[in-house]
Amino acid sequence: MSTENRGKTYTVERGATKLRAGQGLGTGLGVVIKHFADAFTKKLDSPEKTSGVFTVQYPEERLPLAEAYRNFPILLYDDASGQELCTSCFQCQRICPPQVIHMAQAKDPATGKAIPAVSAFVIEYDACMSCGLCAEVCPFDAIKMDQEFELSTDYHSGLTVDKTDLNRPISFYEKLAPTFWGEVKDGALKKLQANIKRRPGELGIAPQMLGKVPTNPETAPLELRTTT
Amino acid sequence: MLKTQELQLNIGPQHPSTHGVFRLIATIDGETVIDLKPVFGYLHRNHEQIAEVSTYIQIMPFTDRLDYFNSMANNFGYALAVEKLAGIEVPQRANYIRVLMAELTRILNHAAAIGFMLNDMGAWQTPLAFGMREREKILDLFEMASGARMMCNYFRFGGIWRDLPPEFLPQLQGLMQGLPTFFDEFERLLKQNEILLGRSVDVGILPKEVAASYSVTGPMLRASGIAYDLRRADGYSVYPELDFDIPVGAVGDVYDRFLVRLAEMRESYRILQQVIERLPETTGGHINPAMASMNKQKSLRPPPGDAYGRVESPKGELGFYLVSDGSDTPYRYKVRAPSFINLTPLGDMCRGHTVADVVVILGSIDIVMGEVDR
Ligand code: SF4
Ligand code: SF4
Repeated sequence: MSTENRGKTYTVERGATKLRAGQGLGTGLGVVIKHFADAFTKKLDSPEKTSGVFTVQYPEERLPLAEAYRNFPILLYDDASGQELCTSCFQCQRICPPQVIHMAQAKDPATGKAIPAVSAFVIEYDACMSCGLCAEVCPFDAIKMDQEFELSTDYHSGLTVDKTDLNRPISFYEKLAPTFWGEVKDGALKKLQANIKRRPGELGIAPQMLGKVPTNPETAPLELRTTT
Repeated sequence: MLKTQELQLNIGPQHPSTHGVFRLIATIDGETVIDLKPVFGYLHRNHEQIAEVSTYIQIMPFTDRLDYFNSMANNFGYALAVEKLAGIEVPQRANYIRVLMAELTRILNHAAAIGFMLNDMGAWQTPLAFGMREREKILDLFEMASGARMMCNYFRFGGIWRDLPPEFLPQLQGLMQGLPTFFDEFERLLKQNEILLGRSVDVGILPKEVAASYSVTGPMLRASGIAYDLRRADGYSVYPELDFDIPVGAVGDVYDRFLVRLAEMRESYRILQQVIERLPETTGGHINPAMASMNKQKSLRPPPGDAYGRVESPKGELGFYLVSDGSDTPYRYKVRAPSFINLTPLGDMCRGHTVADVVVILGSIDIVMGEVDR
């Protein structure tokens, strides 16, 4: 590849390495004093500014988070039907680099066959490295990255989070990341409708929504089960 | 004559000036260091072995954790290696965004590195606060684009995770307006400071030949007077299309390393200007369409063979060596970490100096233990 005329090599200017004592110190102190004075009069609130106060009085004051910001994964369920989007396809479990996602697939109690719903789902938040690969790989858009970062607990096992605590309604995520959800919304809801048809009874309904939403018929043959 | 006795002194592994868990065994005679042996391995995390049982895309977030200051540069090197191995093309736009991120990384790394070096000299926190202030702004940009401030996991094989969000460029332009002021102020604050001169001029000289024989790279090598920069030498990505100069030092002491880093920040600024100007006209998406889905990324099976991808990370030549046996995990994965190799001539540089200078010389190397020990 051609590299000619794209730049030269030059030797950095060392300047006077022996100075009258105090000269350089004075110049430097001038900078510091200017910033010290600015700290009382200016606010550094936009990226082009280089002086002023930029301290934020957390937790009273909070900086807005970027939409793309990700911390830990959460699971989504449909607001109206309470049905979870996850079908336990194991993709996220497989891709998770530190292997912190664990799940069990739901089984139809009548036939013992596996159905597209998840019966148990655990994520070890303490070892999750917030990489976001699980959210990226999920074909059903069931697992997404949350922006909550104040998760400290006083006992270690509090960071092993199960399905009930992972579940969030879609509306919650839509508010968090409107563009991200807008890109996948239609596809995700269509896939969910198809999956609901194959879930008998309470299976697939978010634990916190049980009793609040109608369940699917318990024993109807698969093809007759409809969404409620 | 006064009889003196040699003394072995352990500095670290738990010591604030060792930049992490790192131990130095110094043999001293009075205040003078006669011999010095760096001992590392306290932060060993089995990175390479873990990578050999992970699929190619699973390794990407692990590379963030090597040099956690410059996760974008680490992603870059690893993505280049895999792309070479699997023969994946990268669209022009993705390449420009990659370079944009790499150069922002260089500015934030050098700003912080100078700050930490000054910390080691005793200028406790003030210069560091200046560097950290600019670093914060750049991290905000990273968060906007990649979703994380430090562990970006932004690069994918054949491109990047997502295109830049619409609010990214206005904010970057704001940052660009402020950067020259920062550079000037930083230089005024430090360059002619008598204490800095006293602590750094002719301290820890690394002659050209010694630097080359230790295969030192990055600002360390350039400060010793060898104009070797992979962005020129390899011309990877779109660097051959960009104008920038290579600053080198004349003496190779701590002061030169400081000056070279200052100058490199200005060169990075020049590159950023060109990238921002050309970004709207770039063609191709943010990722090669053939690799656009996560399904393609995770099931990547490069043909048997090997590849070495390297980038000029802010600390030096960061290389990833991969051997594929045709399966979805690499057969061998090796990282050439610049911090680790730049640390090896420490003994040579410190001999004859005082213990207090050892701390300054170590600070001037700019190491991150996450990368040294892996
Ligand atoms: S969260 Fe998504 S990827 Fe994971 S098992 Fe459920 S549907 Fe599959
Ligand atoms: S964010 Fe990464 S580490 Fe955390 S659960 Fe998802 S894939 Fe695993």
